[in-house]
Amino acid sequence: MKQSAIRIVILLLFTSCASVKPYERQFVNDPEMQLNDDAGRNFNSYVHSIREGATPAGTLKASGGCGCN
Amino acid sequence: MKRKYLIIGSLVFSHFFAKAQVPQDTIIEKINRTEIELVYNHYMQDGNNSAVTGGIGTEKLTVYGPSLTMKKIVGNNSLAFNLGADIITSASVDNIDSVMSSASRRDARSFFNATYEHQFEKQNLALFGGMGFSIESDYFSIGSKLGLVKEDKKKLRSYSIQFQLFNDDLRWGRLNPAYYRPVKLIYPAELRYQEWYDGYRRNSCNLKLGFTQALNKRNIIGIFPEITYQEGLLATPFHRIYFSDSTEVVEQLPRERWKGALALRLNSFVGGRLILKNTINSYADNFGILAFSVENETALKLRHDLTLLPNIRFFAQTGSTYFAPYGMHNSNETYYTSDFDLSELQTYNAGIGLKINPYKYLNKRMIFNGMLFRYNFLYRSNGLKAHIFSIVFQTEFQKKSHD
Repeated sequence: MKQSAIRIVILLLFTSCASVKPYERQFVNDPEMQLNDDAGRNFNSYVHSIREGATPAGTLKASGGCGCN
Repeated sequence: MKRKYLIIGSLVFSHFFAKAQVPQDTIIEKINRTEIELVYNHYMQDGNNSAVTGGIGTEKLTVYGPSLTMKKIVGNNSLAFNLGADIITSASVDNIDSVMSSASRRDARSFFNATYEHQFEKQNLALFGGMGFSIESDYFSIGSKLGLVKEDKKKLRSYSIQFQLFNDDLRWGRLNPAYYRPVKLIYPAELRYQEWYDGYRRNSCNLKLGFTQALNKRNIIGIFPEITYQEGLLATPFHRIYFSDSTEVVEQLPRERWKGALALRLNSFVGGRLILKNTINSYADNFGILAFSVENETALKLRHDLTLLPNIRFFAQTGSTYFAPYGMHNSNETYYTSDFDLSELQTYNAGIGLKINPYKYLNKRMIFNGMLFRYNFLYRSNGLKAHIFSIVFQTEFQKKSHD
C-alpha cells in the first residue's frame, strides 16, 4: 500500500512535467521563482536550526557554530 | 574521374587543417564580474527557560551580525569569500567565562568561508568545493564542502549533491587575552571541581541532495533530502541540570546523533504579479525528535523592480526522550537535558520583506543590483519571543577584458 502510494506520487510528478520552450520561460526564469534563498531567509533558517530541535533540510547551514546561548 | 577524386580528397584533407577565419581586427571581449553582498542581521530574543540555568531564568539575547560576501567570476570559474561576525550580548554569556566578570556580557563569533566553483558548459555541470572556519570564545569549527550541480540539456531539471564535514572543538580560551589558545571546557562555576566529559571534539557529516524540476510554464518543484551524522561531545558543558533530589550536574547526551530531513518546495507563478512559494519540511532523529513545518512566502510584484514578501511559518516538534524541565530529571538517568530547544514545542513565525531590484548602472563599471529588508517575529509555545531583522545590499562591478 505504502509502496503503491509512493509509485503513484512519483508517476504523477513526472507525467505532469510539460515541456517548456525557451520562449515560454518568462515565469520559471523569474528571479523570485528560483528555489534558493536570499540572505534574509537564510538567517531565518539559521535561527530555526538553533531555536528548534530540528535542522531544516535544503538550507544553507547545518552546523559550524555553538548557537548555545 | 581521377581528377574528381583528387578535388574531393583535397577538400576533405584541407577540412582537417582549416581554421575558422577570424578577421585580424576582431577582438573578443570577456566580462569579468565581481558580485558584492553586504548583510546586516539583527536578532533579539527573550524567554524564561535558559538551559544555562537548568531550564529556568532569562534567555534575553541580542545578536548583531554584519557580514560580507564577495564573488569573483572569470569565465567559467568563480571564487567566493564570505566573512562576518556575530556579536552576542546575553545574560547567559556572563556564566560562560573562566574569568568571571559581571561586566563581561559580550561574546563574538567570527567566520570565514571560501568557495571555488567551475562550470563545465558543454556538460551543464558545475563542480564546487570550499573550506571555512568559525571561532568564538568556547567553540572552534572547521568546515569543508564538496558538491556538484547537473542540469539537463533543456535546463528544466537539475540534480545536486553536496557533502559537508565539520570538525568542532568546544574548548574555551581562544579569544581570552590571558591565553589566546584552547584551554579547557567551561563548566558552570560551581561545578568546576571535576571533568564531566572525556572528550571535547564534535564531528558532523552532512549529505545534502537536491532535485528541481520545472513542471510547466508556471510551476517549479524541488525535493531536498538530507542526512546528518554527528559524533563526539554533543552536550553543552555549561548547561546545568537540577535533579528532583536537588543535586546539580551538567547536561549529558549520547555521543552519536543521526538526523534525517526532507524538504519539498513548490513555487507557483499565479497571474501576472503573484508568486506563491510553499515549503513542507519533515525531520526525525535518534534523540526522539520528530518535526514538521509548513511555510508560505508570497512574492507580490508591486512594480518591475519592487517586490513585497509577506511570509508565514508553522513548526511543531515532539520532545527528545532526554528532555525534562527544571527539577524533573532523576539522578539514575544516563542522559538528561533541560534545554527547551529539545522539548516538545510549536513555533509560529510571520514576517514581511521588501526587495528593490533596480539593476541600475551607477557608473560605467558599477551596477546596483538591489537591496532587501526583512523583519520576522517568532513565537515559541514555551513563551520565547524573537525579533529577526535583515538588511542586504547587492552590487556588482564589471570589467571588460580582451582575448
